[in-house]
Amino acid sequence: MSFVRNAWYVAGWSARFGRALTPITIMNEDIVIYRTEAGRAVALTDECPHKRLPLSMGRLKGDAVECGYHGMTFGCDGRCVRIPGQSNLPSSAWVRSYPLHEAQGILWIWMGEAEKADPALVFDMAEFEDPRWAVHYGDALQLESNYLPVADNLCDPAHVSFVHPTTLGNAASEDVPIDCRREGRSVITSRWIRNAPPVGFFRAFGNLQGNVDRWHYYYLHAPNVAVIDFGSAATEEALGEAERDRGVRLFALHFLTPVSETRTIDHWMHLRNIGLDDADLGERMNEQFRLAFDEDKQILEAIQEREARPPARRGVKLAVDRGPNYLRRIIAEMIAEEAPQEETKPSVQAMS
Amino acid sequence: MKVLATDREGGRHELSFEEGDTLMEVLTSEDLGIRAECGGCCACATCHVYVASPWLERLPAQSEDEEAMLDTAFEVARGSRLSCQISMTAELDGMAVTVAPDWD
Repeated sequence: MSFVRNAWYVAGWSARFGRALTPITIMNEDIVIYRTEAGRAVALTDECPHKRLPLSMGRLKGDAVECGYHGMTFGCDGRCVRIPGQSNLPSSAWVRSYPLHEAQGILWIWMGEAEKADPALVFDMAEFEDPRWAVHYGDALQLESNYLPVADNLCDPAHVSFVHPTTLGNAASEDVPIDCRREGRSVITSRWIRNAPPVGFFRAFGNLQGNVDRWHYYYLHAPNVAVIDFGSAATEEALGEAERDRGVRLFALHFLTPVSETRTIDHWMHLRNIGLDDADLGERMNEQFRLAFDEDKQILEAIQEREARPPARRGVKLAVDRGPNYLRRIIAEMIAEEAPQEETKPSVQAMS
Repeated sequence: MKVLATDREGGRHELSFEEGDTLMEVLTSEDLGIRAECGGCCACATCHVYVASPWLERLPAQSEDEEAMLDTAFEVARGSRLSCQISMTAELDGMAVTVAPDWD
């Protein structure tokens, strides 16, 4: 298993969940999500412990879920509150309840040990609450790929010149070296492309005509959150590294949720410092992002298909692999740290 | 200043170097079959060599990056180093190294 369990993963945009029983799968675990009458989100194992029917095929009774087969009913904490036809509720009648945290329109779920689910670990950035920034949600992009190659792609600025030539990259960046460093559990890869024609994205939205300085900073917070800080400014402005806010600047956020060994969902969204009052701009930008991320999807899925077969030879390692190397190392460390606990059964929240 | 390198066939090569060259640069000045795929940024472990005593003891300790990449190399032994991470100095004149086995 290559999954890191003790981390917050995106279950979905908040708007997706309501009073319907909504099934999702994360790390091969089937989970049903719904909201209580008061609006609080709840996540339970989506399987009745009696005959294994998905609870999402049952119905909500107030804040509890009633199985659609024999009416076994489970409360928000996963404990069985009713078994029709008998009065005793055995201690084995429970389903797992997952810790959740909701912020910035995003529902996060903790897949590991419940007692380690610290809301302070949920991804946050100051720009969410900053009036100089607009926040715009994107899609839940399904990729038929393991999450690790997707994460590799998000600490790899080199690929944009070749994969996204019409939107996020162009030939000017092909040979510009990439800085790469590790900070704790984050990988930071970056580069500036100075005095070059703007890429398609900034020609479309930045109102930039002549040559620009363009930057890409990829922050990959292992195992699953990527912040792509990218932007451009007219070369005459000679922007310093710390002056990026003076240019047209975006943060593209990617939240990776492993569904299985071969499927990943990338919830992506952006923050921008231009066109704050332009109601359509977010959607127009999303059109470009869709184009670009679909290009990644094609590549990652083609690679996943190859990965199903053993390689005929050892792969060549390149200078651009430093970021992904760091990432794989960090993830291996995180998985090793969790290894002793993998033997024990997952603890059930609020079962004592 | 010289490095004495033994290639995989046992051939001996005397290679000259200047202060500040990396050992990988020195070793790839002739074709000893070293791949050095990533070009010297510690991302591949294909410039793996065995450094003999007493030069081994004169080298600065491995960085965390070198240690981690060596973990992915084959036939790691005492004396194993990634040659791209070794900066040559006068103290290393006469250094004897052996190229680590290749793989496919």
